[in-house]
Amino acid sequence: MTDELEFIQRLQNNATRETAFRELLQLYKERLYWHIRKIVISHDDADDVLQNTFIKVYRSIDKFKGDSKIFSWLYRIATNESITHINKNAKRLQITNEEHKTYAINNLKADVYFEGDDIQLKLQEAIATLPEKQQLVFNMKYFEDIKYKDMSEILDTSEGALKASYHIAVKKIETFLKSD
Amino acid sequence: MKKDKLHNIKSTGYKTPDHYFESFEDKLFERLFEEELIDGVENTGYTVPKDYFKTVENEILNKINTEEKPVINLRSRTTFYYFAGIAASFILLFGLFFNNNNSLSVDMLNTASIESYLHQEDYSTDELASLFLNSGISESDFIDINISEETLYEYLDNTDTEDLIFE
Repeated sequence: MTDELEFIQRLQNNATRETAFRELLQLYKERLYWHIRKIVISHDDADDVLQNTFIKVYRSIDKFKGDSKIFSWLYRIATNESITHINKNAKRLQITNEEHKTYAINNLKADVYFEGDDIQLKLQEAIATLPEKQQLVFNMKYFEDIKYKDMSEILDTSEGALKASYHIAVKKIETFLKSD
Repeated sequence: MKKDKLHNIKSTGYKTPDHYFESFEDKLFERLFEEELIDGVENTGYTVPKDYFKTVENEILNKINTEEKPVINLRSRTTFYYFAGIAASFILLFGLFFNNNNSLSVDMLNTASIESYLHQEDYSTDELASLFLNSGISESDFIDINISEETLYEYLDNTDTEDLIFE
């Protein structure tokens, strides 16, 4: 914790900001990328959102009070940026967020940056059928193994509600996979 | 199928372009600094003379009050053009009716001049033919010859009539 406080101070100090920010990038760029990618699906969108996320972090680092872990703060910004990005895309295409998700999944087969087999594709289709919050919880728990405690900070939801969401999501996905 | 069980699927299947993460930082910093450069520009750099905004208001008001330009009456100008038009028409009429001593007519030209003109201008026979609008025109319109019956019989006697039929 002391290390984290010191790290935050370096990020907020003009003299050390750039070096500290480069360290932050090294530590989190890949984790945040995969978190974002699972929400926005395509690589190009994920790249946009990842850049926007770090730009937002760089600009608002002075406002970070250290109330939560820097990891949760970063994830919260990345999640919000991803959802905002989807909303914008959906609005541009004049469709709902759910329709946008289905549209993105349908494009996955032709995506050069997707190398999943049929069952992996089916899993993504199954996830796309879930409500937004359940999608987030499932992805964060199943693929990223984020603790409920941290997830609670990121999504601003109680641990109990997150556990319930995950349980429901798993049931729905299993049913989807068994169908056909 | 066993493979269809959720716990058998360990990854999403997503991948990134080659060296994406290695190049990400440079790309991000480039964008950050570019945007910072633009953000750093707080004004356009244009300046105005000292106390310009204090004086400009009065200058505008003064101009409004003093520079009342005379209104040009459009009607007077229209009347002028009206009379000028009538005068010009009279001059033209006088010119046409009383000053035609040197008028030209086709009769004044000799045939040789017309032929020479047509030859020089390189008119084709088709173009000339198109000028003849009278469709009932025939060769005899241009030839004034009286052929006696005797001459005609003589001609027909000496000519092979079969050739004429074929023609």
